[in-house]
Amino acid sequence: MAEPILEIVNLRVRFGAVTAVDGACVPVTKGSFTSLVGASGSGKSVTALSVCRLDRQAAIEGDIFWTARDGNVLNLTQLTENALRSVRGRGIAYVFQDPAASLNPVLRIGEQVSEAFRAHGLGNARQARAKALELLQAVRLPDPERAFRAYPHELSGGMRQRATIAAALSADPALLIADEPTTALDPTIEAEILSLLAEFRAKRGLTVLFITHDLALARAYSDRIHVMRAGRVVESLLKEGRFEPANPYARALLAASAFDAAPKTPIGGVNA
Amino acid sequence: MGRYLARRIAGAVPLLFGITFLSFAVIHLAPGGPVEAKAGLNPKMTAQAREKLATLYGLDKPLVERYRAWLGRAVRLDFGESFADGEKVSVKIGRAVPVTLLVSGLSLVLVLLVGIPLGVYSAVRAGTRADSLVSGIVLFGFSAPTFWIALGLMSFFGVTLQWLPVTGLHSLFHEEMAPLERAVDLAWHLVLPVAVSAFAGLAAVTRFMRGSMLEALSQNYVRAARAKGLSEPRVLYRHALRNALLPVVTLVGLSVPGLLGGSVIFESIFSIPGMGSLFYASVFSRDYPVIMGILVLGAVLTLVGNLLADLAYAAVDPRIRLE
Amino acid sequence: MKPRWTFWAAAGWLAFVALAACAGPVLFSGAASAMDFARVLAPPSATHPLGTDSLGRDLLARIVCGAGASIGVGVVSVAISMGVGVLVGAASGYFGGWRDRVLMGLADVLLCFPVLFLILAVIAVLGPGVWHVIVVIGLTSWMGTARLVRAEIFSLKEREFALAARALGAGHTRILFGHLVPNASGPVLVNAVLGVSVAILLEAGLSFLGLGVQPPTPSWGNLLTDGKATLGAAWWLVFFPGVAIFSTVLAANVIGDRLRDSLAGERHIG
Repeated sequence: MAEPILEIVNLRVRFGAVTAVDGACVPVTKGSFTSLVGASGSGKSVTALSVCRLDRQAAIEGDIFWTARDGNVLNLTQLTENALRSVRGRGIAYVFQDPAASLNPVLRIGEQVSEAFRAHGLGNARQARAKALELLQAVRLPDPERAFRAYPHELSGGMRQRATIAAALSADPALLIADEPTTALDPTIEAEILSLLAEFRAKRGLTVLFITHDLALARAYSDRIHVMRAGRVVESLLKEGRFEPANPYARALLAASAFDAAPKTPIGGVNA
Repeated sequence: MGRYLARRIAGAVPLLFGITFLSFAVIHLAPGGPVEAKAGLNPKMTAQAREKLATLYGLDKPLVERYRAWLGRAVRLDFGESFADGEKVSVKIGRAVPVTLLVSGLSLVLVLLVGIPLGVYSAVRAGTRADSLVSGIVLFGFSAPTFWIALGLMSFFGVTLQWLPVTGLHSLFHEEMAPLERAVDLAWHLVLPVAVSAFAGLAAVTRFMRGSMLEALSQNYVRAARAKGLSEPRVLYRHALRNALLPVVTLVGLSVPGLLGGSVIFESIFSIPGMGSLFYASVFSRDYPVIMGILVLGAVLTLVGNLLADLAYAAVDPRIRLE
Repeated sequence: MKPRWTFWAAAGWLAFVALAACAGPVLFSGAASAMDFARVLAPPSATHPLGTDSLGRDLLARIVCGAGASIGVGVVSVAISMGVGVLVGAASGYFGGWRDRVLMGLADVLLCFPVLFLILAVIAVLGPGVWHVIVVIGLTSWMGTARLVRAEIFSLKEREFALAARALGAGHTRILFGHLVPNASGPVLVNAVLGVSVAILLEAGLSFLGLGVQPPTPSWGNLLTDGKATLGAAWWLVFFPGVAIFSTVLAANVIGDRLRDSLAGERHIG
């Protein structure tokens, strides 16, 4: 159980003269809910995006070891673009911060949720549609059929984010990297989205790498937390250690958190 | 959609009044007015004849009244008779419009067929030498006077190489040709005018398309699409291009004034009997009824083009609801 | 990106053309009208570097003189359209209400006409000639600038520095022209430079059609009319005046584009 599925070793990412990530090491265990926490500018998002080389301006050095479905270990920084493309979506999937921006406004939700499935050759159109509907149901959208036919602007923010999660899971990835998925959403929806991710992890064995600036939020859901500052990981916390940070920076980060882990009573009303 | 249309048309009415009034005022502020112009063409006119003309044109009445009288006739498409040969203005214009439509339409098609791919290509290869080359071509297109290009092409293809005809729409023995031959003859005559007409528009469309595509490529949904492992062609065409093409549908409607204005010059150069050369000829001969007619028609066409552009955009963008 | 030398090359060329425009009509008008009957329609040679026209006049001298007309029209008509545009846009944006509606309504009506149609119609009424062309181009090109200035003023009207000025008791004119308008000056300048290139093309077109600068005064446009008359026989009569127009318009476009790019960079921060 303690096998790593992803291991980021000594990652260095530069944009021209600026070094955004300076020797970060992030191990992610298979089946875990791992969080990468840091303030703005700490390099956490850049680290996440660099795993699949999604930022074309970035100059990447270091190693990113990925354990594929068949057991082979690949070094993602050394892969060609074509080889990396087969890992994207199928091995590693992403959920981004702003759901409105991550969804193409002129294509229907259904198409966007099925396209990874089709692109990786997992089935025909009918199967893709069935899978998409199943996923839209799993992310707890109230009317999956209607959502399938809808355009992104017809859904609310929370619903859109659920749809992007469904789209990400379309090709059955082993690892889901969620880059600040709830930062652009209402706090009331935040817990719901996160519990959704936790549920997928528990029921489908999905490994989750969760990027956030909110340490308390991370503590509520993670097995392991890596705290980043100025491009490096300064502390790694384990659930067993009850996530008490020793590093003074990490302590300050915790104190600055807005998240309240206490259980909440719903007041009823609009269901996002 | 119907209500939106009705609202836009209602909004266009004051513009139509403005257009017609402005045209009317400009022409009738001519030194001496239309009587002088007509008299100028016929120096033997007696003072009596002039007075009769003045009453006929209602020149003794104030401008606004004259305008209303003219407007009343204009909405029935009666623009009076040409000063030059007495033919009904509406007939004259009616003969010229299809010609301009043909040439402009063909040139628009050419512009879109070449400009859109060129713009997309240049955006996808942004920053490379290919992109710089296309930008250079665009700059050339914006800076070179079309009539200079026309003269150059005429000189080269028409006179030196003698490949293409340089005047008119038909060869001399046009009527005696079989239909297929006639079509080929027409096509042959259209090559140079359409190419020249397309020249300026091409630069604009290419630049516009490039900007639109770059904008689309910088959006987060493109990154999200790549993150799913989609093939690059699918990312570029299904995702980015689909969005980048949206504003382009408005270009067709918005290019009306440019095409009409440009037609004045190149129709004169190639002796093509369209709206542009009719307008030019009537300006030279101070044929005011024809000038008025074409002026108003040009403005109305522009207005219609704008409306069509808006409708087209609303039709293709799912985010826009027409209420 | 774009190499820096293009900007300076363009600026240099424009300076040279401007010089020719000022000096040409003064120094070269003699040479421009001198007819050398021995060398009618002569191709470029040592005595006549760019060739001669159908009356034996030296093309180089005529082009240099023609610069005066073309550049003159370009610059003055843009000055007029900028002036009108800024005033209308400022009044519209600042006062709003019915003034705004009327002014913008007028702009909308004018925008409905294909530019050349309107210009030609006015020329039909007033008759051809340099000053008519200048005024007409000026009075039909102000709408873009007006819209621009109006938009800027709308957004700046309620910003702190305007409110502060009002609090200090500044009158309308002072606020408008001392504070608000200068903030819009960047885009207006870009419009002006690009407007010059459009105006030069318009003048050339009008003169080519015989409705602008009247012969024998040379302008780049009417030099091309001569070129058309002798098409095929004298390539230099078509080529060189066209190059003059093209290079000047190109230079203006390059400078305008550069200005626009550098402004876009600045405004992102502000």
